[in-house]
Amino acid sequence: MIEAEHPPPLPGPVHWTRRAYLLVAFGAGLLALAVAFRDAVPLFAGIPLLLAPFLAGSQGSRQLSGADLEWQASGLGPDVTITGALRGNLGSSAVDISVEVPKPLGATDAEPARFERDPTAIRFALRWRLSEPSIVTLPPPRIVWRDPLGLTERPLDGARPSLPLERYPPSLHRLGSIRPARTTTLPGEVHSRVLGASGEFFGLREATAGEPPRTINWRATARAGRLLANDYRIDRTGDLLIVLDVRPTSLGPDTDDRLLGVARAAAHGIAESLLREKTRTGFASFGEFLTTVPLSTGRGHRIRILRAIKAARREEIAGPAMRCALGLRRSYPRGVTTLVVSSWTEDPSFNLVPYIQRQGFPVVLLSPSPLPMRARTGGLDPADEPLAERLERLERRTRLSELWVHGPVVDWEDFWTLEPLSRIMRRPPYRRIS
Amino acid sequence: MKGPSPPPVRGGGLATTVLFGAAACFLGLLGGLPLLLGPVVGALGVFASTAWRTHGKGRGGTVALVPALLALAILAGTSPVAPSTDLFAGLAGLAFLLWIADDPARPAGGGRRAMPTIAPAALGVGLAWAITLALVGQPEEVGLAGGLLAAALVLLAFLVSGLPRRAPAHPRNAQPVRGASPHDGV
Repeated sequence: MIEAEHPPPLPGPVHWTRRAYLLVAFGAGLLALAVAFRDAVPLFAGIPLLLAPFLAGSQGSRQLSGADLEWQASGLGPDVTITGALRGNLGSSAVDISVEVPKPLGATDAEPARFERDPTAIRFALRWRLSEPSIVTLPPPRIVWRDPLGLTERPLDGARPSLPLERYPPSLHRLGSIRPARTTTLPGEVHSRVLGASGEFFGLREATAGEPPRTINWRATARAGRLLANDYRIDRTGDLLIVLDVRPTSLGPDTDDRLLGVARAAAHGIAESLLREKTRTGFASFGEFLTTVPLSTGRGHRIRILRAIKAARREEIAGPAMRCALGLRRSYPRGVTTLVVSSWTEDPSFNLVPYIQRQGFPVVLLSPSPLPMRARTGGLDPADEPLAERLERLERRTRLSELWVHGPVVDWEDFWTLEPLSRIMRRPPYRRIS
Repeated sequence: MKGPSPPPVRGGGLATTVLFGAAACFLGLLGGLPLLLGPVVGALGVFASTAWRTHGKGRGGTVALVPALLALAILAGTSPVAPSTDLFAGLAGLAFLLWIADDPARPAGGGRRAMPTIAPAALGVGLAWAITLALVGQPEEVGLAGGLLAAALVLLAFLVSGLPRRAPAHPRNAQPVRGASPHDGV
């Protein structure tokens, strides 16, 4: 069957740039001067300025129709490499087409952008370095043809996909290997005393080194000729609730937004690592009110929870910490290990940790520090900066140390590693003891 | 992408700057400003604009053209009416177009690629100058005839290229895009 050929998309309208308006304004001024003073010389100088903007739009881009964009992001940790290609019948106008890729906040160029142009494609490669973890969706780049004089421009049509960019500490990939403690029963699950601590039989798996002999299924091992162990349903999942604090603080909206970006990236990375290992994970964000995603696992839940984390935004009004704790109590069973991600720089009543802990949730506080973002912004002498940073750090540590009575605290300053959190999560109260 | 690509060849050649500077200086020399003030104004205007667009903040921007345009306007406004000054005013305008086509922020060869735009403008200047030479009359009438001719040329170009529209405001590539910030994304 021969498919009907799609007509090429119509080219977009030609726009004048500010430069064109400037030239026309000067040209018109010279023309007015010439007529007013009966002097032909300004007129001669003004003729090229008046004509060029009108002529520029009609040249060169008539054959351009559309161009499709394909682009992808790669790299690890703070390094981001964006590669892409703009394909279409660009012809000789390819050299005058600009691809303006939007840069995320806090990203710097690690290398100058590289562009390769030929009549059928423009290939580009950009290398950025992110200052902190973030999860963003890059909007499509602006692709325009500009005439060589820069007087007119025309946006090009075609496919323009967005590009998701997710960067969180590489150490989070190993967080999935930790089995969080099982604190709740599954819906409909009834514990049987006969079954012992391990629960219902789930299936067989390859035995690992150091496997206790009681977990080896000797009959299955004899049949298969290799060591096989029993896998129990209760071993499959643990529980973790992630609470994201999206309340405004005295640090100001810019720092708050950057800290929330880091917190969201951490929550995203932790949730993804745990859900990959079928850990039951819940998510709640607290601004003025509490928004919750229940504890669950599975592919559908993974999409739901990651979407909720991405959608979390800083709120304008801060709700009382007690409201968050009571909301959690209503939405989740007591005893669920709760990871609170909050920068917390306010007075003690603002802090969520004591209130949540009093409602029966074991709490771990992950606190992204604002100090790296505020470094060298105080207008101090370079000699005084280290002293000021040290004092700020001491003050913060003093305030955070008071929270250890409620649960472990991770003062997160190096945003590209979460090894301290991994160490805490490996400890017995949070990790299941086999 | 295979291997590192060579660094991009940028515009901003010396030739067009020298050409524009020479045209402006010569117009200043023929003009009505006392002593060597004319060439100095022309040279200063070209130098300021070139320096601004090469090294200044927001280089390649529209504002960098203003010193050159002001110098051109001053020189053209103070020049006496004569066929030679008419011609050099037109040439200075054309040289200005060549100079802006050779932008360091754009790929090299802008002057060559801008020829389809500059050539009709040069034709307009040439036509107007030919008419001023051919017309017999007072300089005022010559000016009026030139003005009418220019207006007719602009109208013709306007009809050929269609109605212009204002470009939407947009951030430049170098600036962080608010929509892509870590707190606004997704």
